[in-house]
Amino acid sequence: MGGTMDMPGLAALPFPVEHVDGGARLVVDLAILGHTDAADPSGRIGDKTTQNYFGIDTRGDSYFVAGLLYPGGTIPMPTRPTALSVFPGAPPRLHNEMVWDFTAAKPVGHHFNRGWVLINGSREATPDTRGTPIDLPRQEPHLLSTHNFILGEFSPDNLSPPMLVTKGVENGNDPDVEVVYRAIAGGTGPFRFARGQVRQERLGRNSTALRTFSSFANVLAPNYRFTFDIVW
Amino acid sequence: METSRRTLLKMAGTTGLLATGGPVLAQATRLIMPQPADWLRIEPDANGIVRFSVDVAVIGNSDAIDASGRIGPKDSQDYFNIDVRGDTYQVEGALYPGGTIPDPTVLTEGRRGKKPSVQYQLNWDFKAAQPVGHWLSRGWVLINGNREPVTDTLGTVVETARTEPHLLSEHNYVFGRFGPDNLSPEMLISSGVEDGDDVDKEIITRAITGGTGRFRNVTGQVVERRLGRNTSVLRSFSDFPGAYSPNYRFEFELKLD
Repeated sequence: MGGTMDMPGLAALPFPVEHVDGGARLVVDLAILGHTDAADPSGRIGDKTTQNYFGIDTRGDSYFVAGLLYPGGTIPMPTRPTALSVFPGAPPRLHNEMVWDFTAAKPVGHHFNRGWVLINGSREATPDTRGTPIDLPRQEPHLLSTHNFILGEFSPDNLSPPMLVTKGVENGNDPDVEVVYRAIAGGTGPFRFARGQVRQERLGRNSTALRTFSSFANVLAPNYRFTFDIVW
Repeated sequence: METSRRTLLKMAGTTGLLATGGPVLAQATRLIMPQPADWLRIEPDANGIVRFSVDVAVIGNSDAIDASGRIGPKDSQDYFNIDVRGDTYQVEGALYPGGTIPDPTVLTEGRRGKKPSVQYQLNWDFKAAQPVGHWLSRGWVLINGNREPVTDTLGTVVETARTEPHLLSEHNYVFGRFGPDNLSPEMLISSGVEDGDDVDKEIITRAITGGTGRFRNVTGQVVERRLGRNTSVLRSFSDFPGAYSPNYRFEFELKLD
């Protein structure tokens, strides 16, 4: 892009920024607030007593969920493989461990995630008008989403701290191999002319429980680490 | 307002367009619809930055809200006292060249219990100029009006009420009018939060996330600020009847390549 970095703007962020190869690397940790997840009014994802979204075609259902941001490295890496009730019989996974309980550090930003579900759990292949199978079950990735990373705290005098926006797919069936790359779609403040991508990976779970995204009660919400590689 | 309108109509009768790329006006005999290049001039400055503004009058009757019903019926909604995060909405607006909608100047009473502000003044009635484009906004509500702190599974308070910003949205600024032969005039898209509890402090910076036409390789940001109210009435976004719809000014700061 040939642009220049807004050094004072980057230095003022409550997140460390590393300068690499003419660009910048920003690492951000996220703890999802499980009780904020709001699913589509269709009801296909929602009611814990009836939902079966890994067994039906829920593509197109919408959702929203919020989370808290911390400087990269705040949330510790999990160390203990842990079983999860959502998938009985599935092997324990490192990133099912609860590693964050919100008492060790205060958040320094907000995360908003919304989008659409991509899960087609239908067991039957869908044929076209001539009987040719054109669509087979596919359970992952789970979501197609837009993320807004608000890199500061809201206040009555500041409703728009610096921000980054990303788009892409996310979430898979095995949290230990769940690494996705998403496009940086835009930003504000020091990121207003930014381009690049972000690596998203799991970082254990936290002590809030998902409201509707899981078909079992008291499933703990996930954490993530985002590594942004940005050029101007 | 009426004097201003007569003045503008008189000018339009002789020039068709206002000077410096201003709005085209509804005339008795014909309507001149400008092309974006006529009013939207994009000249980079010495640093390669393009700056321009547009005005938007939100069309109140177009607001469409979530099927959850939490934001909706005027007789039951109470969305500043419950957690309505995740409810969706869509609303449209009429887009004008920046400077078309006059700055409000009259201190005016607003919502119950709120301080008066010039931003509550009704300063646009849709008769003074024809829109040159469309504004489409949709997204999710961010208001958590729940006054009870939320605790995690271990009893730690992880969240308290936050009533602003109100919305998380994507805007499409369409720089032309839709027609059968033109379904996609050139466009900019932005993403961000918007709307606050104090209209005098409501200044929001949003990220540019894409564009078409002259904006196809764009990066940048846009600052959104209130610009009074217009004569259309919000359908469901307000919890009391007769609430006039807001106007906004958007000031873009862009790089085009």
